[in-house]
Amino acid sequence: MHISEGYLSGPVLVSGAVLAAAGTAIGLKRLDYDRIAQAGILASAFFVASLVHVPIGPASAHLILNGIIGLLLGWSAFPVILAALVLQGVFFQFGGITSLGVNTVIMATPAVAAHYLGARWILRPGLAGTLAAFFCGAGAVALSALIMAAALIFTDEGFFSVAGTAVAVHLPVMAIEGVITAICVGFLAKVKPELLPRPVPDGPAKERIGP
Amino acid sequence: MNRFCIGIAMAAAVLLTALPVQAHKVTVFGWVEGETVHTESKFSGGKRVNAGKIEVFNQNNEKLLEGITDGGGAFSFPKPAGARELVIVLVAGMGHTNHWKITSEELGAAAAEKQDTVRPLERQPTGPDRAEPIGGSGLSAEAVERIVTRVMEKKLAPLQARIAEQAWGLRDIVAGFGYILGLMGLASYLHYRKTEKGRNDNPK
Repeated sequence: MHISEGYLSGPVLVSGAVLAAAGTAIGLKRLDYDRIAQAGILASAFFVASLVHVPIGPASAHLILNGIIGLLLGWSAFPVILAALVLQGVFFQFGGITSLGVNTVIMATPAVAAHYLGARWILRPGLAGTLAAFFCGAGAVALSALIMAAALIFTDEGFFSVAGTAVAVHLPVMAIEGVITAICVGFLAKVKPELLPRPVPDGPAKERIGP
Repeated sequence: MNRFCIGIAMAAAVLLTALPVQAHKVTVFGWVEGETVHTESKFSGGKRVNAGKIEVFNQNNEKLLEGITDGGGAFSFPKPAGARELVIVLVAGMGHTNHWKITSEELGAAAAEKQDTVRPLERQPTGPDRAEPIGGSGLSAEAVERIVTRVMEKKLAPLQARIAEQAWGLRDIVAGFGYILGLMGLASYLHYRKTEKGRNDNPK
């Protein structure tokens, strides 16, 4: 899911960087101080998750964990994922510095989507909530694959073939992340439900505390 | 809170025991063997790049040729005449690309070797006659040199390939965690500076 240095054209790189900067600005503004530690832990998880390879399937795919990060952090997934991507680039040579913005958009946008689409469902009791959490985790990976295909539209051969391959390659990852997300959400709902986004009446927008 | 911490610790343990695992990037590695340039492409972790596109450029960034890797991630081509340097670019699709440079020394070494076999005496006019067999073994110094070079190229290729992968280790992972902790510290610092300032501005 990391696009390498020197693969994309200038306009794509610039748009990616602008979008990532905007997302990061919103995310930093909304990052409540009480959640700094949580953000750090999730950044660490994201940082090492890409080292966990899923050896099933035709190509090389790894865990991303953007679904659970988005569910817990909302817009703050942007700065968290950006920071982790910088470190992955520096230490593991994943992706690249110029493609940092695009990669952040690829992985953080689905995280934010999972937060706003999933919030109202994941706290439902029983199977409904578990399934919702599963689809947040799996769907975030699928959406990342689609955004990546869109970013590659000017470089690779056609959106649909790339998108199809990308989603197919990530099917095992989607299954695993869905399960991980469902387990995490189930665990947090029991132990520390205030970490999860509150359902609609409170609204995720009101989560913002402070200036 | 305790149970939460234990949960996080367990998750971290699971992630860490999954190591050592594979990295997510592609590498391409090329080497010269006689008159042929071999390339080998893999996702680091060892999975070979099947049907990846290889493009070869010379020192002026002109494309000389292109090809497709086979199931073993290999692609070989005859050494292009007149190129002083080669840049081998692997495009593995889905945003994966990498390149490998073959320097003029590597290309030149193979050329010099060839020259050696043609005119050994001109290259070392003052030395002993290199075409003479040594020690009654029936092998000339020149032949020995050629054999040694060929064997060395074969032996060194996997070693160079490993260097090309720029493997990361536990140290990099720990360093990354350290940076994240540092960022958290920075955020705390900024937060407390802000609240302290606010307190000084509106004393109660």
